Amino acid sequence: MTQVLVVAASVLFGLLASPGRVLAEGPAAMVTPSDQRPSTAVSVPLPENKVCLDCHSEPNQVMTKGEIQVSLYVSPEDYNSSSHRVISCVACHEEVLEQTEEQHKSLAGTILTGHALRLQMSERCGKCHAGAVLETYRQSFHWAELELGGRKTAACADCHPAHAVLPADSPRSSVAPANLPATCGQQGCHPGATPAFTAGLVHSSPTRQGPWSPVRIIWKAFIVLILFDTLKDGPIILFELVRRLRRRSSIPSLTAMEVGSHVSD
Amino acid sequence: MSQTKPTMERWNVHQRLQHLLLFLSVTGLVLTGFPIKYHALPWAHTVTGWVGGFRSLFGIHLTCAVLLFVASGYHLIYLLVEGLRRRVSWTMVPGWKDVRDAWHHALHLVGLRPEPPCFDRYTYLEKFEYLAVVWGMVFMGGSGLMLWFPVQAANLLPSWGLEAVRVIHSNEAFIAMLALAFGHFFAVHFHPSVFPNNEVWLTGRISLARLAEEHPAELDRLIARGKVSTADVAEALRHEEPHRPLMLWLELALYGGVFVWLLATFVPMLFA
Ligand code: HEC
Ligand code: HEC
Ligand code: HEC
Ligand code: HEC
Repeated sequence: MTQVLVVAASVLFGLLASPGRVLAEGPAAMVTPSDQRPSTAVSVPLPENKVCLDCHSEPNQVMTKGEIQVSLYVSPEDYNSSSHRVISCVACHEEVLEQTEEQHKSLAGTILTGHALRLQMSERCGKCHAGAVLETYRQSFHWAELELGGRKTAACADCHPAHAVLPADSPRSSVAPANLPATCGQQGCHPGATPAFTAGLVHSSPTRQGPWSPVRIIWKAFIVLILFDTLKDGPIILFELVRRLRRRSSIPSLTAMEVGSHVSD
Repeated sequence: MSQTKPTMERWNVHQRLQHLLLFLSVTGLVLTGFPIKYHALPWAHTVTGWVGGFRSLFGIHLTCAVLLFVASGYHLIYLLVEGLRRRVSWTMVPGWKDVRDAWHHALHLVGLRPEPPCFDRYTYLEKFEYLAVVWGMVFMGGSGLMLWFPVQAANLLPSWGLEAVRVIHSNEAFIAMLALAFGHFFAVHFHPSVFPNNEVWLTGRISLARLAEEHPAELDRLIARGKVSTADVAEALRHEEPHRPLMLWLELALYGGVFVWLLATFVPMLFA
């Protein structure tokens, strides 16, 4: 059996080696999300993805998985005008590489779909998007829930639709300021999300902010408080223990008379 | 009217109930909050497993938060009612004596003043702890509510507000935990003269011997008012506490280690 898919996929993966290397260095070197983007050797849609898109560009194509129907539609226009047009489908859909065409066409039920797949993919996005983007996501509550086994939370691909990712300054992007209320409000996550709610940065952490940014100052203030508590309690405890070790009897030798004498203090 | 009792009441039933609510809710909050703060560490997963997953972990967290609000409400109402009956006690309010006591205590601990400070009903450390609870309640309760209802909170905050609120919640949580596990637990559990447990929070009663040691000024007042007889005190003071050098050494090693760890962790963060 001609393992069209497998061959196509592996060839394409091999071809990817060069842009792949650029990618691996590119996004990994990103300092902040708004910093310069990974430059890519290829700036046109990868021809290899055409194999996949040929089959997956039928808007009504679905697969039945148990009770639910999963759409298999990937809009070629959206994908090929997205930032990811330069990467291969199988960079994310690794499993497909190992499948024969037969296997590929009867997957239903064997691999994750929908939200579960997005959650799983969060790890994979990090292969290329190491650095600030991944690190800040890993510090977020969204990730905390995901890591501790929660399933209601936002994966990378919930905020950045996997087949149409665009930089925040593109008006069509899901993370463009004007679109954020809708992005955060989807799937009943944050109903009624307002522009005020989405005004802050998602990929941010106090260590990554300027030295005089309010968040960083607040963070430092709390570190000072932690140290204050440490330096207040630590010595009191340690000196008290040492004092008792050095003196056999620990009860101050007060007599009832001495106790009474404090009244006149 | 002097009663011949080796102990006397320190906390009434309301105060004990408030402490119990505070204790239960804060313990629950710490146990379910720290796995979220330290989600990358293995024990976070273990604890989450115990309670049956993230959603129940978080559910318990929010339930305990509500319980903590109930505890604070109870305390405020208690103060109000006592205030209206003109029976409210002001012994918790800090004053200049506390500043002098703190200095005196420091000198005493390092051996520069032989006699200990003459503490009243609440020592400066206890007052500090009480104020820390008030402060912690404002910051943890406030930031927690905002994180619970972020869309609503965002309308009241600048664009960096929610991020700041999260920093506050996460770090003030550490401070609260530290104040409890390090400071408070020493004072009421591991302090050699109370080990293993200061029973005031359960029975409400304190022994005269401990009163003489820890709150001599209060004892003086009680003697002066005739509530306690000097003979009882003299009797109580004859029972010396045992000297336990092994325990002292163990505690010294433990607390010394924690102290160094805290400094080594947070001093670099200050300059990061
Ligand atoms: C010959 C047509 C064809 C080609 C070419 C093709 N697919 Fe598919 N693909 C399918 C069909 C049919 C299904 C549905 C399988 C089912 O119903 O079990 C599917 C399912 C999928 C799924 C969903 C599986 C799941 O359970 O989540 C993914 C992801 C996928 N394909 C990715 C790709 C990628 C990536 C490529 C390119 C390397 C590709 N496909 C090429 C026909 C194709
Ligand atoms: C950046 C990673 C990424 C790339 C690149 C990518 N996908 Fe996907 N894909 C995902 C994620 C995440 C999902 C999960 C469902 C969703 O987000 O709608 C998904 C879902 C799918 C599905 C539907 C199956 C399901 O379980 O929902 C198909 C079919 C699919 N992708 C095909 C493709 C094809 C064809 C390409 C290349 C043109 C491609 N994907 C490129 C991440 C990617
Ligand atoms: C194979 C490497 C690779 C993987 C895996 C990958 N990306 Fe990307 N991503 C890129 C490259 C390359 C760009 C384009 C940078 C450019 O346009 O200069 C990019 C761009 C983006 C952008 C737009 C930002 C920009 O600067 O254009 C977003 C958002 C994004 N990716 C999110 C994701 C998410 C979410 C996932 C996982 C579902 C993911 N990526 C997986 C390589 C990858
Ligand atoms: C809760 C929603 C959310 C999640 C989850 C999320 N992001 Fe983002 N992402 C955003 C928003 C909003 C922006 C715009 C800048 C900001 O707010 O920090 C952004 C920006 C980016 C950018 C830069 C886009 C640009 O314009 O330069 C990349 C790349 C990116 N995200 C990748 C990821 C990856 C990879 C993950 C998972 C590891 C992820 N994001 C998880 C919401 C999210």
